Amino acid sequence: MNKTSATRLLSSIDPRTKWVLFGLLAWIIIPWKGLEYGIFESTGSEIFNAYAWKSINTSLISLAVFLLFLLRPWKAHAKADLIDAAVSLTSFILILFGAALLNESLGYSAAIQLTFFLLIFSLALARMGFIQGDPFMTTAIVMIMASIAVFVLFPISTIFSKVVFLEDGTFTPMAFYENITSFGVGRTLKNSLMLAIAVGMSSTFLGLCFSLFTVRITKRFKGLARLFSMLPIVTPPFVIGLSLILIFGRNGTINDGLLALFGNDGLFIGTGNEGWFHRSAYIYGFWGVFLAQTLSFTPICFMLLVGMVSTINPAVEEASVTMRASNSQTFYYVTLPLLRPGIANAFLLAVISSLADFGNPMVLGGDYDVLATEIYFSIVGAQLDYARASTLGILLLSFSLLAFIIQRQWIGKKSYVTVTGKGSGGYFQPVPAWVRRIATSVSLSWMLFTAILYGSILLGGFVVNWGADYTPTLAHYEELWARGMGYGAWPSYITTLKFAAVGAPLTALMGLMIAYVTTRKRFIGRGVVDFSAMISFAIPGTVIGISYVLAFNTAPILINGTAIIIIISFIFKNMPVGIRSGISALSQIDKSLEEASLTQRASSIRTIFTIVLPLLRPAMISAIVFSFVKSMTTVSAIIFLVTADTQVATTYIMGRVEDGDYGQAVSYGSVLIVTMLIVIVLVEKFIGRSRIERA
Amino acid sequence: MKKHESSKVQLINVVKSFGDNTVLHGIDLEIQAGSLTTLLGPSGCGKTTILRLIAGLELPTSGKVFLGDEDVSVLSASLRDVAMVFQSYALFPHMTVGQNVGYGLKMQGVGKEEREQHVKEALDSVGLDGFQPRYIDQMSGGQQQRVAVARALILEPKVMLFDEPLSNLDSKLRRQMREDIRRLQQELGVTSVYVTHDQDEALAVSDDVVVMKEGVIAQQGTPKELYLQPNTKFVATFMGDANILKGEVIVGGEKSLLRIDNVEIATDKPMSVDLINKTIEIAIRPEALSLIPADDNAIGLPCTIISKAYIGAAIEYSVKWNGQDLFLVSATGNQEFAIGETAKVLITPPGIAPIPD
Amino acid sequence: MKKLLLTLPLAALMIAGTTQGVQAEGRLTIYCSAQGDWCQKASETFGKKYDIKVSMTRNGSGSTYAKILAEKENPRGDVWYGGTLDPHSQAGVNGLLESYKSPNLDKIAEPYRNPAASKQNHSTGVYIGILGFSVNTDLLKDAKMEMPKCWSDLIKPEFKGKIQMASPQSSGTAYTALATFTQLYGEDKAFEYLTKLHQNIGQYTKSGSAPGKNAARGETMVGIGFLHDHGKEKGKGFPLELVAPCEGTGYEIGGLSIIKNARNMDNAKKFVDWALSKEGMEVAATVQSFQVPTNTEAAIPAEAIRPEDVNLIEYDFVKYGGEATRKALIGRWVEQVKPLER
Repeated sequence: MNKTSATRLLSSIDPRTKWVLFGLLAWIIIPWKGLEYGIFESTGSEIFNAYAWKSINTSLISLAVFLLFLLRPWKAHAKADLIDAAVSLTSFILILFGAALLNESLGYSAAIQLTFFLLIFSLALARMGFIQGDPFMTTAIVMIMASIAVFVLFPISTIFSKVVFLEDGTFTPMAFYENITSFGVGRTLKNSLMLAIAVGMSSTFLGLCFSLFTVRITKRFKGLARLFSMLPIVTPPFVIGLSLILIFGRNGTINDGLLALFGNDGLFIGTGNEGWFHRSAYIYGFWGVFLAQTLSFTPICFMLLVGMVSTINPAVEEASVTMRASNSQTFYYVTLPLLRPGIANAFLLAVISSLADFGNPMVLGGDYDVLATEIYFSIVGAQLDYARASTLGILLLSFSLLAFIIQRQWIGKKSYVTVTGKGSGGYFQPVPAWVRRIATSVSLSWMLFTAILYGSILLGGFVVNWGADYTPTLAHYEELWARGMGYGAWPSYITTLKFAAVGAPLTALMGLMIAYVTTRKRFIGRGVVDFSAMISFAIPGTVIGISYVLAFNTAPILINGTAIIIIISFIFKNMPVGIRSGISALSQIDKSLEEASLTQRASSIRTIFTIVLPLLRPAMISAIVFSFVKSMTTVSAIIFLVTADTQVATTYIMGRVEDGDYGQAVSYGSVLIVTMLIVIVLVEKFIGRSRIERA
Repeated sequence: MKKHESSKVQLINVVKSFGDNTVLHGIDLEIQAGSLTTLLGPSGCGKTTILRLIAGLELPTSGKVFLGDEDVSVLSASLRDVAMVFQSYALFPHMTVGQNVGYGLKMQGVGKEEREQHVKEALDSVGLDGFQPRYIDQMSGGQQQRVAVARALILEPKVMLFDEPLSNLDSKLRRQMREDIRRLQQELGVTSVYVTHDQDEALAVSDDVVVMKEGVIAQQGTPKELYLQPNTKFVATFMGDANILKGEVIVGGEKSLLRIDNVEIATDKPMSVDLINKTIEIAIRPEALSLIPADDNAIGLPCTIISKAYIGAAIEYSVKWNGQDLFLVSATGNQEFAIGETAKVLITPPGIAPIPD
Repeated sequence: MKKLLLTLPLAALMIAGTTQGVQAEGRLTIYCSAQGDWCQKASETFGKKYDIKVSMTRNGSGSTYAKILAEKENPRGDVWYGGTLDPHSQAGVNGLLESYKSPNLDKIAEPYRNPAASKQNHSTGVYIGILGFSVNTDLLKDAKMEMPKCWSDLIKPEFKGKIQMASPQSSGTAYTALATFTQLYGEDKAFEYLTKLHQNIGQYTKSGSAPGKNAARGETMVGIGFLHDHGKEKGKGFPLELVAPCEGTGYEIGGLSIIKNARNMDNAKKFVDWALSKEGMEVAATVQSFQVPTNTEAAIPAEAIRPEDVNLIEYDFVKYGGEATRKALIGRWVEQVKPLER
């Protein structure tokens, strides 16, 4: 049988039967049970024993159902599709719960077969008219809901059950109340909220200035401004904190400089006099964290807003000007309101990021306790207290969700469609002078500040010990990179790149897909998808990490210690960024474009690839870049998940910081920054910008 | 382009709800193969929803949709043999004119050369051959509209759907485009469903008009039937201007005799005998009314002229009769009346429709 | 897509068929809570010596305890090496550890053979680290102040804002300090002292080793913590002087435990035997870790502060390692000391 006739045969089979046959094949030739050491490290007998037919296990359910489907005795029944759906969903649930009950860890074959059950379920739903009878969309929605249930709701419910159940399973309904009213919680909460709101406003403001500056004011600095605004985003955690300490710390450059001028024996005060300048530790506490977080989150706001600013239809501004509005009035009454969804999104993102941020308060917080670090230390601190951690986690989550709901209400139901099937020409009106002055001066000074900080990171790697011994040296770099591929930073560096490269496109795709189905399709459970996606965004990385360990270290899904769990945690931790930028972009694309494609006989999957994705290209690029970068810089979510074989760059850097090797930490940091910048440039070069974005 | 194979469209007891909001309440509709049928009604009446149900962009909550003999009730849009011209045109901004028009063929797997040939023909039929390499934002509104039509035509669909295709054009262009669409439709013989809220447009292009109100079909018929014999006050007033007068049924049965004031009018319209001696409403088109001097012997309704407007081919009058304003049109050249003058209104068929409900 | 789905199982079959696999007998997973380079060196040396494939994951003792607890249904680690004893104790009490008496136990100084709260040989002490403080001599000179020698020196007003200590809420090191003051002065007196000390604290850090690093870098004049951490900074050339306070001080024991139901039990035992041997203990000094080894035969590094030079208190690891005492002391500190104005 040659290849084409094989394909023809395949496509002639009913899709249900096809999935069933594949499932049977998988049942026979792929190990059913999980392999403790992974497929490459396991011994032959370990693999052999994992096969479905080697022992009595839950795979019998799967086998029985597959055979049942081959016969389909209900074929002639009027509600055959409903029976298909019911049978496949029931077996999916039975296998998961059965395996949990029998303490049986599920492996590759089980994963494939569970997927097939979902496929059969989706096809049946589509045939019953779900989502306009569209099999692809139905499958996508079912898969999204299933993966959210397994990888978001399940682990989070695991950790939150710690609030009301003690270690031995005793039910303690009052624990939540006791924890929430316990000493210090109120103050921590107040700290977190104040910080989040302050950071939200400053980052949004800076992001707006930057996007106006690069899109509407000057093209000259565009590349440079982009680079500067990207830098903090490509910077591993701790490194911004470290650089702030190097510059502003008690023994940092500024203190050193001021001391040299005004301190004891200073240049201006003279020898032997009591200087009026004393070293101070002003960087620790609210202002340090505020500065570091603003540095970290401004780029997020910038990336969101720059997309918005560049897709505004110039015609609306022209319209305003022809109605005798001045530039200022146009800016205030037309441009800003059009940017409102973007501004709201940016503010929301910054607030939530600040609430969940862990690295910066960790390094710079001083006594300024915030929820995210309190959660971490409830787990790893002097007393292991899951109940307290979970309680604080619930608090944090409620505030993040509150921010989300407020933002939704604010944007309301206003339509901001500016990209329609009707093309438009025209040019942007110049922004008013005062806006230009503010945006320009803010952007330029911020760029200067960033340059100084990054200069110190770069230089910090080339001196023996910043703060004590400024002798130039290459020792840090040699230690990290010159000892061969198996030593120093290499293993973690390669692992990081691998994980990020696998995770980023999946993350972006998942995020955009969710954005698409939640904004464009009506289906039961849409609210749940929306809400769960928000949860995975709002929840701090540390809690995600520990909940993954709790949820996935036992049957039925035993993936703790593998690379898979880290990549999955990347996807679900970073996915909301894809969702957000997808929603922003989709709200500017007229729905009838997709409908036109559908009526042109393009299936929904082809519509996605030929119409939606090309129009979403700017959003997609930023989602891919952002999730890649986030994966490379995530630390809190994976700190509990990494093992010796899956050590990544951030955990390596954290180790160096813990050991006080600031030199190595910033050297590795610099290398990571450069790597990420190169990746961003390459991605943009190969995927390019879309026509929609007015260059 | 060659004549299309076309098929009839049929909706059987279709209900469509969005959540708690039911927008279509049991629609039964048959659209003849090869006809151009207009769905007409005020906004929110459900006409666009019917179009989207035929396209497959929505699925009915209950009821059936047939294209030809095929039940497509739960078939997704991309598998239906229909094409649609959108109100916003929905031209893909990231593609050229040629790519837009050839999109459907490409999706069907048609080869490049054959595709280009078809694109050329389709664009030629709307007078835009040669514009293939342009991007959409380089085309005028009217051109964009024609690109959208060409894109819909190229798949030789059995049913063409038009969703207020002319609403974004100026009136002169609109008149020209509606004639072009009508001509193309008749040349190709393709079943077309056309949604509009503009009754002039509906009357001008349609074989058949379906007037809708609040999710139900008010009346279906040829433009002439709807204009001359509206079943309800809603249809009468929505389809052009109508004077609604109260009158009495004198004779019922196959034909009927009505009386307004002292004027007796014979109509072809059957009337239930139960209504004899009852007062009903009667819709009378402005053209069915004419003015005669007050001292004329003919039997008419005595009235006073309130206003008049000269509109070229005719003069429009507003007159007051029995406390009620009447509106009528008199051809130029007929006797003119001055404002304030008294006269009599003569009622002459056609254009008289009793609307008993 | 179809092709992909078809080839996927085939590829998996091929992999399954060809993989000979690594011998499971040759594996060991170490959870290490000592300094990173020490952990690295120890795993490499051990792995090479016994030809065992060692995987090492380094994490603070708090995180490691959390990890072991989370993984208790299905342990991924085999042995837990280093880190302060209290979490080891807690793990032992909570049934997460395996009892094991190493044949090398007789070479270990008596107090460290079975120090954990459970008293069931769950953990052995591998090193001791002495609590104290270190002073940045440059800053001291600049401020023209005298070198503090005792805990009581630190509550003098001239040190206002110049001292760092970790927060007992987040750091085991700081808890050791809390417990030390309590054993030194009695609980109420200890809190009086802490209240006065609070007035001089510039900042409570999150991590226990931060005050030492900050003192080294001049971020603070005085840092309270374990002196071996500070010794390492001093070794890098920072102007630090290490002080073991005159009143006496507490200390930590570095724990070594086997995780219950470890997958590689034999190798775990082998590792414990090796880590307790003279050779295993002397690895530390080669990577500038200057704790005092508990093996009486092992050489004490010259840089280390020797227990006999210091006035060490009788630290009650059972009482102060227990959860109840711990919660009570930290709770009291959080309520009575932390919120005070300063």
